[in-house]
Amino acid sequence: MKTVNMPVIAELQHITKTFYHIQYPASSIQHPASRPQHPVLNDLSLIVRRNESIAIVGPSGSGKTTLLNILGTLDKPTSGEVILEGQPVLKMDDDQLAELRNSRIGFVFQLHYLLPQFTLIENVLLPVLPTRDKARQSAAHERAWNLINKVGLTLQAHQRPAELSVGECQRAAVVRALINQPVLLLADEPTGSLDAENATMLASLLNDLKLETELSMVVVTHSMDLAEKMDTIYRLQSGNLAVFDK
Amino acid sequence: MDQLRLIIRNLCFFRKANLTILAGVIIGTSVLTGALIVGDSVRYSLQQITKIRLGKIRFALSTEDRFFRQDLAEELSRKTRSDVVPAMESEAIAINSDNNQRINQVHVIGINDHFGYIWDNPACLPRLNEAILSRNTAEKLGLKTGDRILLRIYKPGKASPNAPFVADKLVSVSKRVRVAAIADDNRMGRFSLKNNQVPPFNVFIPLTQMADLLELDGLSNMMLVNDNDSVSAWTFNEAIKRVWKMEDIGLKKEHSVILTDRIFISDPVAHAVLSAIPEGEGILTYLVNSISVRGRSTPYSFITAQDDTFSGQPLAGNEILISSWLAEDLRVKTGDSLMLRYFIISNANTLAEDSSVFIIRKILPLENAHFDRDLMPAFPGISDAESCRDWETGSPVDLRRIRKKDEQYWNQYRGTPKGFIALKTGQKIWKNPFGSYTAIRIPHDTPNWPATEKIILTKIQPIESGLIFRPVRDEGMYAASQSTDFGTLFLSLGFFIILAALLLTSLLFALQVTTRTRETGILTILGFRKDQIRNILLSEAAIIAVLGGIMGSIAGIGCNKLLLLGLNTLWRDAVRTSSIVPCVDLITLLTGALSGIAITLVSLSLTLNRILRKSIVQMIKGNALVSPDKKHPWKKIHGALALLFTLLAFVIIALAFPFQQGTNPVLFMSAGFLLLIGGIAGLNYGLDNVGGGPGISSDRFYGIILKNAALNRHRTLAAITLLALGTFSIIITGANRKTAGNETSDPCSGTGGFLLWAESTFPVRTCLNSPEGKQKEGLADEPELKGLHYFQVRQIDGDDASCLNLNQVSQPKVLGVRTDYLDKIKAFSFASLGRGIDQAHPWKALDSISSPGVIPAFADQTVITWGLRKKIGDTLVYRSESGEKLYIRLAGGLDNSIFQGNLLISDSLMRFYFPSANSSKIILVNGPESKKEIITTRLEYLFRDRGMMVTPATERLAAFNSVENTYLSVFIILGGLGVILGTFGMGIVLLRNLYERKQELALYLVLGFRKNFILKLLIAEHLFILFTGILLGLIPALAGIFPSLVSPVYQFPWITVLSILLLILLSGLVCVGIPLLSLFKRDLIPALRSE
Repeated sequence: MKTVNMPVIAELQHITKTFYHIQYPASSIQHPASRPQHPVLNDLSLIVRRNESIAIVGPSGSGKTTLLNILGTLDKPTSGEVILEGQPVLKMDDDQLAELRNSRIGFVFQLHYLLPQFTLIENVLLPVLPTRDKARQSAAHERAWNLINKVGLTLQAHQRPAELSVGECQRAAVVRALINQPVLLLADEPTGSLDAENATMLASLLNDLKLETELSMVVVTHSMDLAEKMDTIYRLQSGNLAVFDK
Repeated sequence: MDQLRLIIRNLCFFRKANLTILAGVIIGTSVLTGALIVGDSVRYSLQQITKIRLGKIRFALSTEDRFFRQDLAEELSRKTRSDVVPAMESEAIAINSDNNQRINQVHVIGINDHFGYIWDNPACLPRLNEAILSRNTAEKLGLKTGDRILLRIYKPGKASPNAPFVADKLVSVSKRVRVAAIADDNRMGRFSLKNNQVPPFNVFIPLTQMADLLELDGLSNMMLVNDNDSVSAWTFNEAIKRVWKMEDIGLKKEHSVILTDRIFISDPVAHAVLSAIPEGEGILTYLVNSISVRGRSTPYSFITAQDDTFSGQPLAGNEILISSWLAEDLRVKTGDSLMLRYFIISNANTLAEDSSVFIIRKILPLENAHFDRDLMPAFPGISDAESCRDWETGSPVDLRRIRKKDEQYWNQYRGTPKGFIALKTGQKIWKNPFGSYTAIRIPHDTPNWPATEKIILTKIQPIESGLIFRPVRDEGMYAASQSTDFGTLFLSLGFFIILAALLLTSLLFALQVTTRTRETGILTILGFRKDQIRNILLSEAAIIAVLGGIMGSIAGIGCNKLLLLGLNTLWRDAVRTSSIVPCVDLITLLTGALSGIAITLVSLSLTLNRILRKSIVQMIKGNALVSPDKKHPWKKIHGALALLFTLLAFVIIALAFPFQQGTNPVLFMSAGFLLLIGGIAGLNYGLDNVGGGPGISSDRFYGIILKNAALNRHRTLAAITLLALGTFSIIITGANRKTAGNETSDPCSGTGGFLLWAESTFPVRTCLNSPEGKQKEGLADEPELKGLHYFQVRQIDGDDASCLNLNQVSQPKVLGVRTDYLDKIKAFSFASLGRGIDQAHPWKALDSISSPGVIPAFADQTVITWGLRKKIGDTLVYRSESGEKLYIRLAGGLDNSIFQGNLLISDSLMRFYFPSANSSKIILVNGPESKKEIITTRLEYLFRDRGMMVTPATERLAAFNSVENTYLSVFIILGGLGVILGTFGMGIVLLRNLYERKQELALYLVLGFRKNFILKLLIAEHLFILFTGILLGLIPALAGIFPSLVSPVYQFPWITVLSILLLILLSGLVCVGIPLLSLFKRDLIPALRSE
């Protein structure tokens, strides 16, 4: 699907992220200030358009998760700018960022991170709690059941995560990510903890949802099967993105 | 799902963890509330004791050694339409002859039928030759109803025993009576006007019989007013003015002379009489030892000083007018000189003979109206003597000098003066603090005497003769309400339990929150704001805190019962009573609950803030437990502080050795404290360094231990700090216990260097250091008592302000001490001295008064601070014997002395302001330590009729110290429990640590480590915490108490302290052992699969 003419949802501009390279050789002790700096992301730029799905692949430690965290406002770059729906997010305070994540971004991780004390439906509805808008809450409730139904978890809705399979939990995590109708879904190794069957099912689900909701999607993955289901594949290497030919 | 549901769901899901947090809150709050209830209970019990000892009495008047008519009570009753009950009180010795049991300090109270109205349910009233005994008296003497008791009652007499010429004889009367009943505490048995929780030994006998026995017919020295809410004490004090008579202040009119029962008319009263009768004439009649001239001498004669001009011209200062009888006896004529020899009271409070020479101005016939036998005051032992040889005076009388003609003169003229001198001259040479007149002559033609008497009485204030009603009920209730604050005290004593519970709660909460770090991260990712997450977690904490607060507050009632059980039994020394009953006040329960909730919430909130500072990425990784990614900004400061404090401690220790002994303990204690802080700061720095990675290799056994300890630095540090503080406090507290072992010989010690403290029921008036005194009291015949020095102390009765009395005291007992002697031996040491006092001679400060009516006093610093709640420079208001306001200014605080509970003023000032003050009921004895026991036995035997009890000075000091030592014991025990609770907390934390590290442990197994090795590793890790904690407290504490440890006189309570330390160690081992063994019983490998 061609999305070139679609509006830009998110944009990373000249992102650099540097970590201290901490290494303690048994024979020598170095002062932190004297250690070499190692940029994980180096002047990296990325544009995500509406209804576009992007896969980011690369070796372990290449900075894929860091990139996703920066895009999802969970982490801040050393330099550069993050724009979400035309708004620079780095100047936002913690509360504004929380509101932004709650309403505009959905997250899916390798582990489902469902809270064990709540049932599936309660976990799905958890993101609705921060809002005080009753109408939105009510709408979310209806939407939750629709989505649960869609992913085939209706019967398990009142079960707790411990009573569900890993695949069911991960599907529930996707529903939780979409409950507030975000414009951007960020997924970090969403199939990493799943078997092949469940991984395929989840990949299809993400694709279906993208088509139905015009959702933009950035997926970090090692799985080429999943990556190939995305519109664009980028390879992250040496701190920068390069288009990966399918 | 709403937020409330979410919170409830969380609470239920994490119920096990929440229940442990709840338990921590309950423990902390229950100790806190229990301590607060102890305060209420003590106050309530003291108020109950006040009600029990006073019955329905609201006001009371007690004149002690002054007596008024019993009828005054009835007249006041009529005037005020209230029940005013007369009574008489005196001290006595009570003896059960059957078993030779005796009580020296017994209060005999003469009562009539009206006394029964004061009590709701009085014991039966005594009839003639019967007595009612308080329960404690009966029990101590082993008496029951129908038995007989021998009472030796102090017979005070109308005149002050200290006044010149009052016979110095044993003034007591013995009576054997039948025990008619035994009165329980609430049935008048505990009757006392003194604010003290210690029950007095009371014996009640009929008032008429007591007055008869003491030869004080129709008189009493106490009036009690039955409950009457509608009037104030002022009403009764005003009513006295309307109904009293001159007899009530010891004045009587005989012919044309007003005399007093007390030999000397006090100056305010004399001035009042003279202003009421302007024509009145003040007279001072004095007994002179001899009147002599040129080898001839007339012994023991009365000379009167008065202003009567006789012949129209006043007598000059050195002139005397004599009777013809004396002129004939001495064969003198007008113009001859006579020498009068007489006794005066010297500065040393002994009788000293002095003399004056007079020129005979005129000789008058004995039949002259001026030679009036009524001029002789009512000298007890003289006035009523049949012959001169029967005289019993307080001054030595050489009966051999009395001639036949002197006897004839006595028979014919009694005490008719043999000469007259000018009043001013008489007052100058015979000056004494009891008064300047012995009589006031009034004109024969004074009209309408009753009206004149009323005028005289309007000029006198009843208070000048001690006639004042005090609101004893209100005073008692106030004293009880302001009593030692046991609430705060027990809060301090239980500090460690509360702290331990709080630390435990915080640790558990921190554990729970950190366990849920990932959840917190997820909520953050899902768009929850930090304050929303904080509110959710804090709401959960608040629910636990509120539940724990309420439950802890209720559990506090049980805790209070345990503490009261301790106070009434094991720690009885702290309260001197077993009558402390629980009093649960709703406000206190609420205060306890709210305090528990507030403290918990603050503590948990701080813990939460610390944890929520983590970044989202860290939280989602679930690694909030590890050291922060950024270097701790305080790390270097911790290192610097550790170095600084440790160095400072060593410098102080090095400096402390050369200093004099007095400075050493303070310096060593400071060094110990610095070492403790330095140690903890150093440990913090060390853990931070180890956690950082370099320096300690993890390929060694100890390296792994240190790395693991540093992994959860806050947990490790909290556990070690708690153990260190607990150990340090327990040892330091143990060292603070006061001992009074071999301090006797040191004048600077609390005993002042005195060997014995002797206290008698009846005063000893003899100067025991003079050869005559020793002879008289039989001390000279006792070889064991040779070479002893007796330090006799006068006293004004008052409340006991020592730590043995829990009530707040406003007028403590005042002791008059000879400052010259105390200064000479440099007795006692001072905790504080007022400005301008010579540090080298502080006792001299008591002799100087800056302004009239303000006299300096010393007291024990503990009495000033806690008993009186005053400070140096503050004043206490008393009334002098003549009723004037007297301000006693606190000029210095003694450091823990045997005088605790009393105010010390100069003996000379006491004699001036309180001339009748009981002479030496308290005697301090200086002598060799080796003879302590034999001296005690002999003195008690020689003064047995005066009810003397001799106590080693060290024992008396130990009794006071026992209160403080009891508090310290409570602190040690509660502190020990706190630390043990802390070790249990450590056990729970350990258990949690182990379960968190299951995967790590499983990994060790997979890597081929043997189970034993892993077990050894874990045991070593936790023993490191246990021993480091104990050592970090032990080493600084030992440094702090080094001077005590090396002192030969100090007895450190090793057994108690070591037992508690051992208990801490054992509980620590148990707490480490049980979780480890339980973990290793399980198969750890599946833990890896969950990864």
